[in-house]
Amino acid sequence: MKRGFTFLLVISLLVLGLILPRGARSLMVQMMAFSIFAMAYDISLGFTNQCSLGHSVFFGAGAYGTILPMLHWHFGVLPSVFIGFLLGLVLAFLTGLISVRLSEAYFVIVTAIFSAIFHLLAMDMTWLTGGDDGLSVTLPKIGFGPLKLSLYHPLGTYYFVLAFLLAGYLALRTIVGSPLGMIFVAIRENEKRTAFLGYNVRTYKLIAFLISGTFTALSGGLYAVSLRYATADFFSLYWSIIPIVWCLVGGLGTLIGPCIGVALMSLFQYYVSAWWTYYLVIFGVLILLILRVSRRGILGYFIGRGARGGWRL
Amino acid sequence: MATLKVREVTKRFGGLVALDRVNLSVEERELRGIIGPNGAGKTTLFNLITGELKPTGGKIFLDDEDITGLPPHLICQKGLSRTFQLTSIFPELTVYESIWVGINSKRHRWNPFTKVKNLTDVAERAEKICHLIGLQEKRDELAVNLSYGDQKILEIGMALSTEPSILLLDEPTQGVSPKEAEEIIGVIQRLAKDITVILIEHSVDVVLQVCHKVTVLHEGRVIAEGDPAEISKNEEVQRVYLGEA
Repeated sequence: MKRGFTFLLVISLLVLGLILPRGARSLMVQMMAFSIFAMAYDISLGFTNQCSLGHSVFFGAGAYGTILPMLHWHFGVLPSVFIGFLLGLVLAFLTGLISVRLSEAYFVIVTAIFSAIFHLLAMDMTWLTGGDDGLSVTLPKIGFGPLKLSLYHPLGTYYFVLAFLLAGYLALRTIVGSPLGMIFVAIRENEKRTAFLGYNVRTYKLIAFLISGTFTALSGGLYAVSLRYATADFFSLYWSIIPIVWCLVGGLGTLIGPCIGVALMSLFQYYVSAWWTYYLVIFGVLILLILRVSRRGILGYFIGRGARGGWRL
Repeated sequence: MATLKVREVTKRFGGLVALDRVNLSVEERELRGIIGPNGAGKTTLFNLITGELKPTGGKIFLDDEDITGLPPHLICQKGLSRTFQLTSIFPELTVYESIWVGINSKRHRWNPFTKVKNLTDVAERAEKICHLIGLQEKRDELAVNLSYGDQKILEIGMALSTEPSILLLDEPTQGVSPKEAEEIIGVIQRLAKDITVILIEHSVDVVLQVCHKVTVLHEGRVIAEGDPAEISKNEEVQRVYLGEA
């Protein structure tokens, strides 16, 4: 039944690209890019209980890692996205080496400091990042042999990002359903016990952090491609906090849950902000209500008793 | 050969001497009991052996290999496994999954490209342990939903899942009903046929009834060691337990 559900979801995503009006379609593109971010973030928060405030570093790095090669060296889109992905991996490794050794509150603080440092650097190094104004880029066509895909065609970006969303979901799903995923959940449930069962907890937390950071960078790259633009603002704390909201609202410890969180938040932002500037106040109340009803977010409410089975979804 | 030797181990917490030059030798397939009044240093001794704490002085040997001060996961990999006095389980994992995690640790299967259910050898072993500890009917129950007694049994199962040669049990019958305590003791006796078990117990009766040899700790020192009959006759032990000055 779950397989059928997934199939239906993929088909509807494929069809939606064709039938949606222009505005709604670009909203969908944004939601799909953010969904990768949300799922990646949940590997850190929902699966290994590492509440990072440093993911804006990877999001921003992914965006610039993708934009800069296209701008300066005229790289193709795909190699550029890959470079952004790798940059995320490297930064996640460097920041992870320091931060995963720390417990709870200290981890949160240190990752938040990383976010602050990178934001300041990006704002300051205008020669590289364009600072607050950002950098715009012209996207080259993507060639598959004789076929050329232009990301300026409205459908091009949609299916480009969708392909990455599906690939990202499959990759993360495989990891979550593997022994590695089980070890992550064990660490979330009881870190000390996991160590006493013979696991080097620090190493596994670093692995989770790496996976999380790398896919966050992918999301940043895709978002930048869809906007044809990157700004130093991508490094700001906002991009570290928003994934927490997505995961909490949608359902911690799942992959689909955070995507639901993204959809809800984005739709809300899109439609409610049009008639009231302080829409975030309403959203805040909504978050409280959702978490009051179901501690495990929206998806957690539907799959019943908590994270049970959650890590399989 | 699976022997544990504790040599002259001392642990100080600031000015407090929790353990004072403790010596302990446990032979293969022995069922050793450690008793002593509150604060005697029993749990501290376990924490030193399993790497949760580092001793201030002295050495600990497992099969003549020095394991003093190694981190817990390495000590576990070497075949020493423990349970905790306050149950330490994975609340939102099922019985089966909790045991699965332990078995997997020795096989180093963290491969992200296989599926959990495809590892049939781990699965078979997990089923076997569920049977051994008598929780096979509750294998899909979340650990948090088990009764306290069953959680205690699950803890033993988890400790066992890493295939240890020495098992350290910290008050496995504490806080459970007499009937559950009997079940737990049954499980321990079955285990002791194959592996070395070291048992901390508050209830002297249990230890004297099941253990081959008993060590008595008092105020951080070993005050007596011997078979149950000797221990129950020992005057110093009686004095400590009956509280005569």
